[in-house]
Amino acid sequence: MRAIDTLSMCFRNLIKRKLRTFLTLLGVMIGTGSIIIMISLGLATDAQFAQMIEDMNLNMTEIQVFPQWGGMMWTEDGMQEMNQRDITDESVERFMRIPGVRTATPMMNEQLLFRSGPYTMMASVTGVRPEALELMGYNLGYGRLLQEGGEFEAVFSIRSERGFFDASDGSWNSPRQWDTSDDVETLVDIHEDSIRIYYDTSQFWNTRDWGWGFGGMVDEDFGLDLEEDFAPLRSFEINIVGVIQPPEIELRWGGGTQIFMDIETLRLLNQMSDETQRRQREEDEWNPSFSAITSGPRQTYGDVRVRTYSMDDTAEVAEIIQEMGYQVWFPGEWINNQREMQRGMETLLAAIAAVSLVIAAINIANTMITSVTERTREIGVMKVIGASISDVRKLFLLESMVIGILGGVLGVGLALGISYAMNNFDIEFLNNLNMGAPIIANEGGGVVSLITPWLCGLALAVAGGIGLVSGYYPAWHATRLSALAAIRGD
Amino acid sequence: MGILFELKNVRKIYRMGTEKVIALDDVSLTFEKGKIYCLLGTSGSGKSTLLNLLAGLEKPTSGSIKFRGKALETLSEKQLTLYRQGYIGFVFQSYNLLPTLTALENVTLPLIFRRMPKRKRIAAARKMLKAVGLGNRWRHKPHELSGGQQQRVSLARAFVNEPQVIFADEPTGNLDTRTTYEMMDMITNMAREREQTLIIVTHDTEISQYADQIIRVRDGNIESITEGLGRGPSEEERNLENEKNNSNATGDAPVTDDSNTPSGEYE
Ligand SMILES: Nc1ncnc2c1ncn2[C@@H]1O[C@H](COP(=O)(O)OP(=O)(O)O)[C@@H](O)[C@H]1O
Ligand SMILES: [Mg+2]
Repeated sequence: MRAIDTLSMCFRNLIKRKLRTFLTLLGVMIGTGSIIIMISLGLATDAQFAQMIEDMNLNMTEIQVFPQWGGMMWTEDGMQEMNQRDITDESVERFMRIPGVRTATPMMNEQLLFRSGPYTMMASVTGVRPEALELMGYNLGYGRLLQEGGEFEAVFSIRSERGFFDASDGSWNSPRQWDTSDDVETLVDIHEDSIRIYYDTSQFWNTRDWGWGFGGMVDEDFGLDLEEDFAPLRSFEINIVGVIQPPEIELRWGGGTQIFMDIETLRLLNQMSDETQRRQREEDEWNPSFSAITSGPRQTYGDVRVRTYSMDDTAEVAEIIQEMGYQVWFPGEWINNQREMQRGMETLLAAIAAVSLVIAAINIANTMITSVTERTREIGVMKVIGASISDVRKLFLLESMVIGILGGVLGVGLALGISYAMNNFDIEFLNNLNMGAPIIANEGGGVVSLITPWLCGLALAVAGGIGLVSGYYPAWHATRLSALAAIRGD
Repeated sequence: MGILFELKNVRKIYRMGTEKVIALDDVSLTFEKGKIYCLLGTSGSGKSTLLNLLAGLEKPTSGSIKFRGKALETLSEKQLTLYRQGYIGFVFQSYNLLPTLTALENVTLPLIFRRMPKRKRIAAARKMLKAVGLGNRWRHKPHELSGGQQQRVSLARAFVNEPQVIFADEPTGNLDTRTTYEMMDMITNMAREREQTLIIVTHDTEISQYADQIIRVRDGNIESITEGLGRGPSEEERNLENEKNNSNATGDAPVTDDSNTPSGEYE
């Protein structure tokens, strides 16, 4: 029997029993429709979470690790004695070996004094391991990122140089820094102008008379005499090898000014400055040179960033690190908790919807068994006049699959209608159902229910599949019927 | 003439719980090509069972049934389907048309199972419907046709795939006398025209006269094989019978009758 003939025969049979077909379709429609709606609620929530993560510029694969201070601590399990746990290079290596970890780098921030020609900038520089910077997920605008051995290299962000200002009038701030528009004329061209970092500057700060004035800190000596004031300070020229393009959202909030350098350089600068201050306290004339200082005592870090391959691993990795005895914080934590709660609710609703789908499946099977019983004689006759076993089987399987698919189509229609209603009319109880995020979404014009094309396709496939499965037994039963039943009992 | 069927010591036992029913005891027979046979016997004698075995709808308990030298009992379900599609036509006592299909579609059904393209099978079915005198009734559903008309559709369905053998199990059992003769004339003429073998089951001795050979069946055995007239009753005999029927009470007239249906069937 050709497929087209099987199909046409199957439609005839469905049309012949209009009412029964319709009622069965209704069951499938309600089952599929409610499943789609339940999943659409989940999809909408997921979309809202994704939006929220983007809006808040949360980095879902990043974990911040801090040392654990010793002593009594208030924890989830009440007051507890905690062992002190420092973060050393060795601990960083251990973090790197945790499955799912892409990279880990210690981080430190130093306020450094930059100078280029007549302009000055005080900027916070983040020290990282050069090889980690790329893996941390920063987007390179142009140039390249840091390399190992590049002690005097820095990576700017596209707005870092807005921090340069003219300090000759004594006002020690940079109005350009607060401008969030795209085109701001800067004083320094990072590609053309030579930029130096002045380090070991404690003497400089100590000798100046500081006060507070309108717009920030004011240099009471009224202005820098660059030649004179900077002359005694030691400095080196930095080479800006690349510029980071931060995400749009960060720029909107006034970000995009981060500067990265090799953490080793910052560490040395830091050590020298400490050393000088100590010496100065001892009224000693000691001038260490940059290269004279090798790494001092066992280095510990106050902040380590761990980056996982996927946000699904983050919570697990964070837990492992916590179990090692460190403090962790990751933005994904809060989101994950929220989402898990949401998922629990959605799963419950989907399970309820699934029940209606199961009932629909039973309904189809029931309809098909009735149909087979009713057509016992017909089936027998068809066999006598040349129908093969597979013809009979296909006839009934197709019929039940068509019921599934048609019901699925109606269900998709129903779901689209309900989804439209939910998104366009404020339905109070849905807000109560979907805790947290959806309310934000509603305020932000988001949707409560999100039906994607693939969801429709999946629903149709599932409906067709359910038809097929439900029709399996009735079809098998039909093939087993004896052809003789048609002839006997005349 | 070649041999079509050859039965040797065929035995068929039905088991109903613990009880055994011997439907066929020990049957050895041959059917030749192009002849008309009649299986004659009382109800329960095993006629239908024999027919079902020949049509490959059942397997014998023992013995063998050869169709053109091939033992039917050894064929697989698939081969049996091909056998039914290609070689046999079947006429039932109660017509057994599919109620959702039109007359034409019912006739095309065996060709549909043979995967014949639509245009070709419709042409064949219309030709067949014309041959049974229902040329312009092809659009009707079975319930819109009289018993005689339904049986003619069923006749067209049996003949449409040009089978070598037609089985008819009490084809006139549900028809009145006049329609019975028309039906018998039609079926035997069609079989003879096409040189097909026809095997009719009946319990009516008068109908059995249409056959070339009358095989009497009794309690699962062949009682006798005699020559039939090979034709139906003559004009006078029919008139005589009609008079007899008319003089008798008409109360036992058959339920289905061509006369209470719309006219226009003999164009
Ligand atoms: N499927 C069956 N199960 C049990 N007994 C059967 C079956 N088919 C036929 N019989 C029995 O076999 C005998 C012959 O039946 P059948 O061939 O139908 O007779 P006929 O057609 O001559 O009236 C009967 O006694 C009948 O009851
Ligand atoms: Mg019988």
